[in-house]
Amino acid sequence: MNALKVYLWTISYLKPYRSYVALMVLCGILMTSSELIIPKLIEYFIDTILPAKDYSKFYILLLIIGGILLLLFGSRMLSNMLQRIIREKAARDLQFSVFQHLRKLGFSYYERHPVGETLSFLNTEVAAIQEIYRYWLPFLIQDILFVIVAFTILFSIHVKLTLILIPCFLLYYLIGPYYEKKSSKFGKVVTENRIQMNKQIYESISALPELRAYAREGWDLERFLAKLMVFIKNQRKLILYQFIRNAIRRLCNYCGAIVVFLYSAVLIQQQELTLGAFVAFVLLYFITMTKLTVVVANTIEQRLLMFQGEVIYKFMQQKPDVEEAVHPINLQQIQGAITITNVSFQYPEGPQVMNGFDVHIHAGERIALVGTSGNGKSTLLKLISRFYDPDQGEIRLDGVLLQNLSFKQLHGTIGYVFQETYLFGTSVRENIRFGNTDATDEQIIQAAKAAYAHDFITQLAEGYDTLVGERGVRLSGGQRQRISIARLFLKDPKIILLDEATSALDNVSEREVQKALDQLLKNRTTITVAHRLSTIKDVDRILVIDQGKIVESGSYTQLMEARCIFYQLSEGETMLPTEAEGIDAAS
Amino acid sequence: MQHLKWISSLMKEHRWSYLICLLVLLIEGISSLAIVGLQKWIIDDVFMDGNFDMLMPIIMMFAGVFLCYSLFFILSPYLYFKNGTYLHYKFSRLLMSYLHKIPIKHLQNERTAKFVHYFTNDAVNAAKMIGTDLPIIYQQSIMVIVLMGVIGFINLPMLLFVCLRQLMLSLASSFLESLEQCQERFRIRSQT
Repeated sequence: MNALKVYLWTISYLKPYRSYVALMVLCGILMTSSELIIPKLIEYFIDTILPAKDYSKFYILLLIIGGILLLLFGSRMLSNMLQRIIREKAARDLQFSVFQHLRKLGFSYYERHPVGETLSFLNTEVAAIQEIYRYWLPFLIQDILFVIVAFTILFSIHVKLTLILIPCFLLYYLIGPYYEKKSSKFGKVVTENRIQMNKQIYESISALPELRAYAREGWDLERFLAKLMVFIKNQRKLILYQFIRNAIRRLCNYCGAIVVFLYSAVLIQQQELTLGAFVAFVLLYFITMTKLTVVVANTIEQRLLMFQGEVIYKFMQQKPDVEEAVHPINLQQIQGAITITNVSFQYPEGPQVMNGFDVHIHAGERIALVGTSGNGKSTLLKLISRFYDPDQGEIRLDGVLLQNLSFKQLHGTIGYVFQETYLFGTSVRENIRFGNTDATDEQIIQAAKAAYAHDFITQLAEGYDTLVGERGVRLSGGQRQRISIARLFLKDPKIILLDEATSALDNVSEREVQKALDQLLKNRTTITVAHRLSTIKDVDRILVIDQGKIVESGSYTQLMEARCIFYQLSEGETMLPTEAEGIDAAS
Repeated sequence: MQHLKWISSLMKEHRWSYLICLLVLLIEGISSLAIVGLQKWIIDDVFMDGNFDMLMPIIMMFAGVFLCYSLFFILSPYLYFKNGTYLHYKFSRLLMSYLHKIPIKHLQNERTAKFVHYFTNDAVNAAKMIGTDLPIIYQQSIMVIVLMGVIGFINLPMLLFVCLRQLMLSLASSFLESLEQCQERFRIRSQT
């Protein structure tokens, strides 16, 4: 990837603050001029004031130096302030757009990328880019200005003496590039290692209960330490190469200093250079060479940061699998009729899951999808929710192509109950309110009552204000499901999709959740993916799916009487997906 | 104090490496000061007093010191970084082993992100502070003491002036810092 392209993209976040940047550059010019004028004043002091012992000029000189220091102080203060403003605002914009893009990429992205990877670049890579706004870019601008002005002054002191420095500086470029390349290589490796390590950290922490249950703590520790060790080893190599490179650069500077001393001695003896000019030259030489090397180091550091920037850049360039129409349709009212015509679908790098699927679901109809694992039942729900678009065929809602509907209306129309409900680590009340963020406390209680959740909630230590813990771990599976159903009562969608909603529950919890579901599903189009046939006896129509196609359909009684596939499935319940199979992503 | 005891117990295995690192940093600091001293010698004794016959011996010394400084400039960061990464490894290992043992109830009371933060930020920063920042503070402190000695030896009022200026700067920066903290507290309060 072109590093310059990534860099330009990175600094494009500064565009809205270009007036601040311009002001900061101006401050940089003032600071540079103030710093560089001082050696020239020292030259004047040594060559003019000191031999004549002219005290009046000396006091004027002190006053000038005082004034320059004040200017330096003021411009530095302003520059620091501007740096902070630019850094905070640009970093905020970057984080915001990364987060926004993450949401835009949607479901398919989350299915393909582990959470640890996303967390890693939100934590580490974005922070690395912030460093460019905070430190590297402002200083690069200041230092480049400094070097340009300093070289002008050095040439004004003695042209030949300045020219003699160029080979010394170029000497670095004979040896330096080797170490530059090594640093760059390890910079990239370390970035990749860091992502892998952070992924492992997230995985290890998320899996702590499972590790405990299987007594696999030692195995996990070994895996984590192995990744950490790889990261550390490569980081050490990176540091070593970086400092070898810096040491070589310094050595080249010192070689230049020796040349300056030797040649200056000749020039002074030949009276071609005054003592004051020599002192000013030496002072300027050391500052300029340091700044020059800092410019080079700064550029390299930014190049290394670009490996981290590249991760974000690539992420930001990813196109969402599903995009909203430019002029989306917003229907006056949704009835909930779904028509699926000749739909085929295949996951990226996966098998063909749907294969010419056709069905029409009437508004308010209750449908159940049955079949063995991996036959496309959950995929159909994802396609109806537009988590993915079909490769072929079309899906219509109330006669309108899903692709033409606005995301807001589509997602507002559909309510999803997954096998595992995600609860936020906050109170029960806030978790229910998630269904409708404008809901009042009274509406929340009504929703909880409708979902048969009110009784158990009031028995909790702090009732509706009880904290549920990370992902709701302090509640049982059935309680979590009823909270998710209460959410849906608040959301009030026209279509409900149930993806093995009760499959992870014991019989008692299942009965409770089923009661809540019966309340919820009244007068709503419902599509249920179920593994327990007992839960789908009352649906209007059962679709038996095999190899991404409907192979049988009818009511429970009709299918049992037909004694075909559904009958065989019901006779041997083991043929139906188990809990573990039920969460198969490809199903 | 308890923290220091705990950290020193962690560093026990690596104490020689840590001590060598401090020694190397000391040599690096001294050679960097020697470069300044030799510059002063060249300007005062060679160029100002016109003793140009002393130029070559001083230049030779100069080259030696440069070489020494460059060498230690590579060695010292490598050593303190190695100590830092050693601690990072140890902290991470301890943390993960601890998480493997703490009661599940305690795990459930905390957010995953908080634990992740311990590994990705706290362990890294703590290791960096002990392994890298402390040795550098030690090096800088010794250099400050040496420089104060040199300045005091040359001109005592100048030393007093430098100390007074530094004191004023420190007071001003701590005042500005407290102002900044007040502002931050105000900002958080106004947001909540």
